[in-house]
Amino acid sequence: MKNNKIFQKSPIVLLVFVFAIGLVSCSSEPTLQSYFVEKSEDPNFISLTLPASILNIAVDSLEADQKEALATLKKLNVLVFRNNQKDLSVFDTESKTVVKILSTSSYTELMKLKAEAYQGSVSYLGSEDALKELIVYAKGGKEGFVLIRVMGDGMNPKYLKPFLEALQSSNASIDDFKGLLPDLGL
Amino acid sequence: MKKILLTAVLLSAVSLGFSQSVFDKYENEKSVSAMVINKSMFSLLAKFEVVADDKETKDFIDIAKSITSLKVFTTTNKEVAAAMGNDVTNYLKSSKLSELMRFSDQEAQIKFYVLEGRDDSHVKELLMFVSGVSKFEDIDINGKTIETVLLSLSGDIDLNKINALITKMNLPQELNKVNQKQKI
Repeated sequence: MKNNKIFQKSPIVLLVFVFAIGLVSCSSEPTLQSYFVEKSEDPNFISLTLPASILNIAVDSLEADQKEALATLKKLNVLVFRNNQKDLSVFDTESKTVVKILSTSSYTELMKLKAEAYQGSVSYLGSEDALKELIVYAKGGKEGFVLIRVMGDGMNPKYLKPFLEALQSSNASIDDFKGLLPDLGL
Repeated sequence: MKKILLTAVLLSAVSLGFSQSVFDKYENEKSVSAMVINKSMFSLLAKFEVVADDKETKDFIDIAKSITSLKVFTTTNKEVAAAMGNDVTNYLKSSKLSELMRFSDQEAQIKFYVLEGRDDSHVKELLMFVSGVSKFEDIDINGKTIETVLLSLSGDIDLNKINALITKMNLPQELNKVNQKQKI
């Protein structure tokens, strides 16, 4: 009989355990935002932020839907890790951290690709009709990885076409970007 | 008490692990090239096309909305290819997939398996397994010949609309044979 009682209690004990674990992991769950902030100080990383205005598009001449589409894009956040050490431990730790962050439930994974030493993924934050962030992660063998966050407010897939059209009228030239980019060795 | 807890936790972990596809391990296999596209990507893709005035675009939107996952694994490694073949055989034994057709195209063996859906033209799962492609000289990726291709598509898939999917997403043309069979 005594055994039976424990059996009856155990699901509750288990539930409490699961909840406790859930709470702990929620509160300490790292986000890409905190990762970006943390790594912008790290000498192993190159970090840059590009405002949408860098596209230098004459908004007045755009169609209404192109304007709407463009308005949802805010900025681009880029983080590059270049591995120039023989020791891969830092690289491994960092790339694993990123993959772990991206695998948390707040991010919806769209797709994954892998070809030989190269691998990458595309995910988003927000809802399907109003993306807050589109995240591209690409890792190249032992050379490093790139994390790109396209940040916006209510980016909708239906805006893709008008957005690409609007890009055609961009007056930005490569020179505009050159000054902004640190030496990426590209 | 501890044992019960541990067993419960382990069991749930194991069942979670198995709810994934048997082929998922190839996502991390070194000598395998993998492409995994999830349901959310397809629903986004369906929304990219705002104006659907041609049949192909309409078909694509329809089929994209109905797909829950697409996985393509290719390998040039003989051992991995053999393991994949084994996994396919085992998977077919444990699931309710039936062979739709098979054919040999010169040296390549192409097999299609389906899990029947709500009617004749719909399937819940489509598995394509291509082996022995390496003998073709014209198919290569980065100078290496492809040995084996495993493609798995799940959802509520209309075989008649698969052509639109192949064209829009650059999938292996062999898939089109599924459609040809339908017409015969």
